[in-house]
Amino acid sequence: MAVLRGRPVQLNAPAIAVGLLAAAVAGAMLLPALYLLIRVFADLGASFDVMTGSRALTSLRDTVMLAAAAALGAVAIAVPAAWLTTRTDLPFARTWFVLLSLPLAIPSYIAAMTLVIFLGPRGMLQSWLEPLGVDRLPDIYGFWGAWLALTLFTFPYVLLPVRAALSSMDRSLEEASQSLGKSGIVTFVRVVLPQLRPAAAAGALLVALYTLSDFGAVSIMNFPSLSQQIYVQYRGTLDRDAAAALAILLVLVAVVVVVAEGFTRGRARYHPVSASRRPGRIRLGRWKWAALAYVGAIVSIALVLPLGVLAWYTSQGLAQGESLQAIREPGLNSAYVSLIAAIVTVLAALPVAYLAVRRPGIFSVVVERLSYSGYALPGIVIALTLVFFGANYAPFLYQTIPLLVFAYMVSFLPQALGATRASFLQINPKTEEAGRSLGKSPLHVFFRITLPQLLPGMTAAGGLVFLTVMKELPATLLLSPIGFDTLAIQAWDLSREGFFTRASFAASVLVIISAVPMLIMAIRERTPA
Amino acid sequence: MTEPFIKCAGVTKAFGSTIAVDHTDLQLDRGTILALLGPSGCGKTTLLRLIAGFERVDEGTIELGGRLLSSPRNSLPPEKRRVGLVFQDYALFPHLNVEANVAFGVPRGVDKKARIAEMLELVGLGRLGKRMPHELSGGQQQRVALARTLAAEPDLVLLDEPFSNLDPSLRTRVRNDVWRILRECNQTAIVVTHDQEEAFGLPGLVGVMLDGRILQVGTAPELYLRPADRRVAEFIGDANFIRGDKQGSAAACALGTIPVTGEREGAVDLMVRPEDIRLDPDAPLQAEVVRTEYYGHDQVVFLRLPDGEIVRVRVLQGASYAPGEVYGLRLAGEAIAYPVEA
Repeated sequence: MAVLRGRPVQLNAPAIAVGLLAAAVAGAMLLPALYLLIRVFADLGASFDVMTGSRALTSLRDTVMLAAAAALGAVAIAVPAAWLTTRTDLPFARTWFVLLSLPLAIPSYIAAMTLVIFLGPRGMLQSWLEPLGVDRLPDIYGFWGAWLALTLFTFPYVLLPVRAALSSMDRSLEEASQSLGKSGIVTFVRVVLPQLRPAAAAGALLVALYTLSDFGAVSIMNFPSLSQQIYVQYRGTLDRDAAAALAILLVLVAVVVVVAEGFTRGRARYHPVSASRRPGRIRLGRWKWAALAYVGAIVSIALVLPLGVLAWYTSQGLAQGESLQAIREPGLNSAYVSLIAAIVTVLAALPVAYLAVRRPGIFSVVVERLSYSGYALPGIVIALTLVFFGANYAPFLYQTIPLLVFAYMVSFLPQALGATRASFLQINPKTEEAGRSLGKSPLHVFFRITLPQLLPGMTAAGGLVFLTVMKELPATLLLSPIGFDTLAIQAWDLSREGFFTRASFAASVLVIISAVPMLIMAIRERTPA
Repeated sequence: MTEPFIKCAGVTKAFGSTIAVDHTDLQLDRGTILALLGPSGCGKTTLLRLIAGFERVDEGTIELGGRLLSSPRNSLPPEKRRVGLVFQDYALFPHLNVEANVAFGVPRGVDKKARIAEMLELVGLGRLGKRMPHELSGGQQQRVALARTLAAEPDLVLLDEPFSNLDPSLRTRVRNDVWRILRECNQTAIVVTHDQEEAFGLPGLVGVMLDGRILQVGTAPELYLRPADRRVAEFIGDANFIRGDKQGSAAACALGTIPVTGEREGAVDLMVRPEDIRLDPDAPLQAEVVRTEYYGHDQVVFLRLPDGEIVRVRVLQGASYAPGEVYGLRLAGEAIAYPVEA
């Protein structure tokens, strides 16, 4: 029978209304990028001078190098870890996997902060080693500190897809290789690794994108990457044109990575998921201890260390009589603004997802692509353009909750769109048609049939946005109303001023909140039999 | 003569360059059940969706009970048509239980509870009202879908391949149940199917749809014995086509001079059903066995006529026919004449 899924019915009033709403959302998403371009083109000569100036070029080079190094580091850490937890008889492999994916829950600025506390000058490690005569540790600030922080806390972006590829890989390929006389090692290198390449590449590009967009870790590590420079320009010299020119550079690099990522995602299809025969487990034998030491070391540095530092400072603070009351108001503020942002973002995602799934066509493709554009806009860039925009054109919006929420929406619409779209795809469009042929209007059918089926997916999308907004830093820093203190701002400000005890309160709460979706995801993931 | 209840006139629908429904007509009286039979891709599902209002016609009109449902300029929205559609995959609302599914389309002013009870009773699911759709078997889901559609009191019920998702062992029983229910409600219905046995088992009319057009509507024997079109003859059952020269009610052909019906005179293609040719030792016409296809309760013997043409003859159980053997052939019954096909 002919498949008639998603064919446009007809252009009635509700359909036009949905189209207009979706177009409005897409247009809103374009606003920051568009304004940035206008800003740069307004004084093209000056902007060009900034962009080609030695400082910008150095910063660009440093940024690209950091992103490449973080991506490579993440792959080097994640591929062996994925293999060990998926294909070998490593004891407690599943638990190790959950622990290895948890660093993703630690916001980069908190991760960097704990590294500085532990490894920095006059840090915890230094104080432990002092009696042994070590009076200086290698400098944590700069490239290597930023690299360490970003690699250690983003490698799960590689771990997750590689593990998925490994566990769906057809065992018979390896058996074929072995039956052709190749040893286990040769089989791994020549048969298994090539199949992991698409998954690893996709993950590596995500790490690169994250690194480009990162603002917190590079700022704490004083590494002059583009996003750090943008902030310095903006804060320090108030030379906003220079900041805008740098922002354009950063967006260009990010777009390249996003395009590359989309390209690998399209190609990363050649591991068949028809795994009726699950791969067997390889016996590690005496290598088991080395394997345990490896995953143990990663978990220690990427998870135990930051959590330990936070726990220690939190307990110190409580012992010194600091009150948790101090984070009550920032906590409520964070929750309040995050809740609004989650609702707004999910509602904005709804018409776009509807259009993309139910009315495919050129219009919906354009609207959907535009709606994903926030993905290529680093948070600092979105924040900066909205500061410009607010200060110049909408002073009544500048540093108000609506503009802040708008910044969050632009940043996290792609996230909400992904989840909403997925749950739309699960709805049988025939149920909507059935509702119509039972005599109900499109609106009635939407509220009684479509929306109830969408609600679980939208709730999940909203939850995800809520948690992401809670820990968002650059937009929160630049756009929050004066005196509007959130957990992220408090963790940032207090740690910058060296009040680690009090910063650790807010940071701990943020880490715990961020860990929730990670844990749910890790637990839901089925163990390969 | 009264106006037909359903009237499709010149209905056409194209998707891009593919013409799904091609200037087709259809007229049905109230209370008729029509099995719309056709192969995959013949446009029958599209026609159903045009009648239900989920697609717009490019040309032609659709009327129901004197109301204009569709024309290229006007398209009554699906919810205003009083046309119920039972989907191939049932499309039960997964978030609502059986009762709520059935209640969904009950018109305003009707006692919902009584209506639900009546409908569930009708389809024999009186006890399952609180179940969720995923807790039902395929046959039960099918009946809920039917109850849900009937509860909305449609003028016309459309069923899209209603039994194709059912286990073969269940199919006959559910099918008979559905027919009985539709009959009991004196419901006008169109059932789309690609299964000839299913269409012929229906206590109503059968319409044959090929290449986007309904070519013939009639009872099953009418379609088989008097196919209006060569393509219908080929689609329904097995057919031999033999070149011939028709003069009145007789035609001269490779089988000799045989009785024939049909309006055309002169050069024609004669359609002869394989079971209408008998093997008869006394017949003057001799033919040589080429090969046989054995089906169990019958077999088809391929024989070469003196002029080289091959005919298929269906014979019931019995002897085996070896290639090279020669038999006499005799026609029992009539041939039907169609225009010569190039």
